[in-house]
Amino acid sequence: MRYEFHLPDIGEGLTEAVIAGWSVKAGDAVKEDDPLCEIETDKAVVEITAPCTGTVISVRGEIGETLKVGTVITVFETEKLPVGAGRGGHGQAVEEAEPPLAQPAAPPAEIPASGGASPVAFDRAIRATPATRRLAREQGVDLATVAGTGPGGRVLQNDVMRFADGGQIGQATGATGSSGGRFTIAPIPREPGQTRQPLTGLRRVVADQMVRSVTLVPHASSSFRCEAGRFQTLRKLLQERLGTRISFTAMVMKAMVSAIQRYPTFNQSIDETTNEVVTPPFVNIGFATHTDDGLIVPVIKDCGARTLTEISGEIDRLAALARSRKIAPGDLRGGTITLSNVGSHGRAEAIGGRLIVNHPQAAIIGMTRIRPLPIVRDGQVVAAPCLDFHTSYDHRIIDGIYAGLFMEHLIDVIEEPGMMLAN
Amino acid sequence: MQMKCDLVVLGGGPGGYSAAFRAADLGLDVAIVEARDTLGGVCLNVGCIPSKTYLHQAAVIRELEHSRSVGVNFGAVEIDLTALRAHKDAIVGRLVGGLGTMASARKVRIVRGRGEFTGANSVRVAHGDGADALTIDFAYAIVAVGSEPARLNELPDDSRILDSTSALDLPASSGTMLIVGGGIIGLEMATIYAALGMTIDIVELGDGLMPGADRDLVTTWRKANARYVRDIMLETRLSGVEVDNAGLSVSFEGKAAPDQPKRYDYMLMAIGRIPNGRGIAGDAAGLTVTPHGFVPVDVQMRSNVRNIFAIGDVVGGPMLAHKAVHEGHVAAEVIAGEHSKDAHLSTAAFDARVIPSVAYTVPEVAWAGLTETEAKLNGQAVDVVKFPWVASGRALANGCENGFTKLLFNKDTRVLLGGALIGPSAGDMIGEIAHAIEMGSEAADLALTIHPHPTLGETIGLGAEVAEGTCTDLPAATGTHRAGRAPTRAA
Repeated sequence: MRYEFHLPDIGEGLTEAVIAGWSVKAGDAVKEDDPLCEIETDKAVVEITAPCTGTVISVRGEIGETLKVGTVITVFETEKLPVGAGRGGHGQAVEEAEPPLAQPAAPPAEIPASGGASPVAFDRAIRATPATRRLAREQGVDLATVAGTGPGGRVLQNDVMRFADGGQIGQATGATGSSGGRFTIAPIPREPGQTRQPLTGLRRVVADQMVRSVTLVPHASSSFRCEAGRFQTLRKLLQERLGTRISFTAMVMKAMVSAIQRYPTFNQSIDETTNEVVTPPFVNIGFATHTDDGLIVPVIKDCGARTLTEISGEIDRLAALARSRKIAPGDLRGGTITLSNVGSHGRAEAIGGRLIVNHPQAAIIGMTRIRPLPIVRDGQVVAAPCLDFHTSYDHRIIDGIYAGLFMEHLIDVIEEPGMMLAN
Repeated sequence: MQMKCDLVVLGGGPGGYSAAFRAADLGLDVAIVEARDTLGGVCLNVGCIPSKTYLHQAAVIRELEHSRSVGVNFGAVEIDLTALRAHKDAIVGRLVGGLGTMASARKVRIVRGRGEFTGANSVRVAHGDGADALTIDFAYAIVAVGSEPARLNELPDDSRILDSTSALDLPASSGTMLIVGGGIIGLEMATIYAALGMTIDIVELGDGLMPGADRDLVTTWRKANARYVRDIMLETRLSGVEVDNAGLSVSFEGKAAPDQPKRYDYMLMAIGRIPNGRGIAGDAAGLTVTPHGFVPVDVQMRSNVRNIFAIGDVVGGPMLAHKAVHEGHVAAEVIAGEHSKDAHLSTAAFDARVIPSVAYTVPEVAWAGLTETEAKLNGQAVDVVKFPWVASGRALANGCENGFTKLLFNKDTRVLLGGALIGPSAGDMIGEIAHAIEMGSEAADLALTIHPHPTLGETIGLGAEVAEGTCTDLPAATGTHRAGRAPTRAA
């Protein structure tokens, strides 16, 4: 019998994914759990395996194509349906192409087979009115790739036209509350010599997240410098005593935990849908990681309850997984504040800059590398190892003075690590 | 003889004429090939419209019975079958006459006869009287040949064994009738003949009447009709029919089969409909027609042959006129778009999310979208709310307080997924539910829309209020629904 396999939700809340590669083609015989395809979702590449043993009748999804969770990606001919088929699983058995002629007294006229619209399908369908659906067809726009700006993610006719005119970026995706997200964008004229590539996969996720952050969060930023001599000395001591490498990033995270205990608003979020301020029970610090495909922010969960060694090891482990794109979706979720080590790449020295808060978090901290800089000590200009911090924060819930106090606490701990004892 | 056109439509039923008229309005030169003398197909000539003419009178008779019980007595019902038939014929005549006028105004040519393909760009129309056959060369074709009542081969040929077409001739208004098939058509016929005064039995092979409808609707229907239908034999089939001058002797087998054959004056076969795809010589055009007579199509209603489309009963799915009309418009737009190189028009597709179903019985039953039965089968998380009409002042005033309105919402998003009504005018009210589903409406959208009071349609708004926890026309909800609009924020 036929079995339609739907693109599964491999992590909580996943709504769409990009097809990264196919391991099968129509006509192939497959065994259950054989590799089927790779999908790139919300920052990770995940292998999807065949749900059943049988023959592949058709596959759907070009490499690079964005598909909604629930879209049929493979049709199998199989002897044995997977467990859960048709009952909330990732697929459903379908009737043969031939509409069956019912036995007399169960007439075909009264079988509630609908012309293609199964009840399950339309529950998962994109929210758009019939007129919008027609407009999308006319414009050649796949509604599944348009982020709706209407209530509840509804795709509006404006969204379709904006997409048709200039692609996805520029939409205030998921905009709610005060943002509105209505603006008109002119397309970039097509000219000879230009090349164009669809904004997909991780790059699209980053783009959407950045637009969401700058659209929703009123940013305020400030920068600070501190001496880091004692911090360096402490690191050396710890590495000797613990017999393992300890990163400055991990140590700054510990200092952040201390500052958050004193100034918890840095760890809060606004729930835009309810206008509530949410205080999480943990400090989950995301750390920005550069990969060849774009920015990924793995999250170290509950930093307050972990030792320095654990945090340092976890940073190395998650960064490696992120770079090889094998990181689990769960390790990318749940961050409550972000740390970006802007000094870890290249030779150029950042002397300022504005970081973008990772919505719905309220704050991001950037740290530079430690390097000798001229400072004034006892009226004399001397060279001393220095570490600069930049921070951007959600000015709706964090005042400038409060941010200053938070950073002062952080710097106190860096300059005199013994201050940790005070907490 | 020879003629040429941009588009030939095989079949002038609701799907066929709608496709032809839409295509003509979009600038195509169109011909309809129709075997009947009039346009309108089964629906107008021997289906929806004539049966509704009788069903309205059946509803009136049932209303009169109610009126009698509340002090308004018109005396005994007298039925003049000749006048009633003439009334039906007059209505059909008005409608099909109107269609003929609209066809000529659009310059749509009507060719009488049955069309058979002779190639992918030509059909041959043989006239019933054996006169010269006509060959029509076309750029595009739409197959809209519909369906016909299914027959059991082993039945004797006897004028007292009716189908849904001959039943409309109203051969009798007294005596006994066996209805074979408990689907919508069978129940509508049961409603008509019971109201006229016949004693009705129903035999159905399946385990319930009205397949496709939720069982609570059917239970309510059966209660309301307990006085009008003598015997309902479920999971039972015919095992033999003997005819003699005095009537029909029918034997049964199955769960509810009586030991002895039962005698009836009439039998009405309503066991389904068979698509007419086999009578069009599809092979000659390379057209795929399944062994059962269906023509497979894609969402644009296009068959396996690029310039041949098919719509309506012959493509499968529910055999309903409103589905056929919608499909006819889609096919016409795709064809006109391709013909005139209109890139927008040619993207038309069948994209409706729901096709409402209605049983025009007394009481009327209507449903659209997801049913409770399907939701259970799929394991979908839905909120099912029912507004009982006993809480509706208008339903009490009208004597239809046994009805109810049911709505199904997605548990998380609150989006309306399906709905059903049972009671007078249920079919007229289901359109609001279908529209709300197509628009992606949430419970709040329906609940916050002011529905006029006191009406039966108001129960849709009230049902949505029940889902929202804001309804004040029922005892206060306890726990199952949230109180008011704001989501529960407790951790």
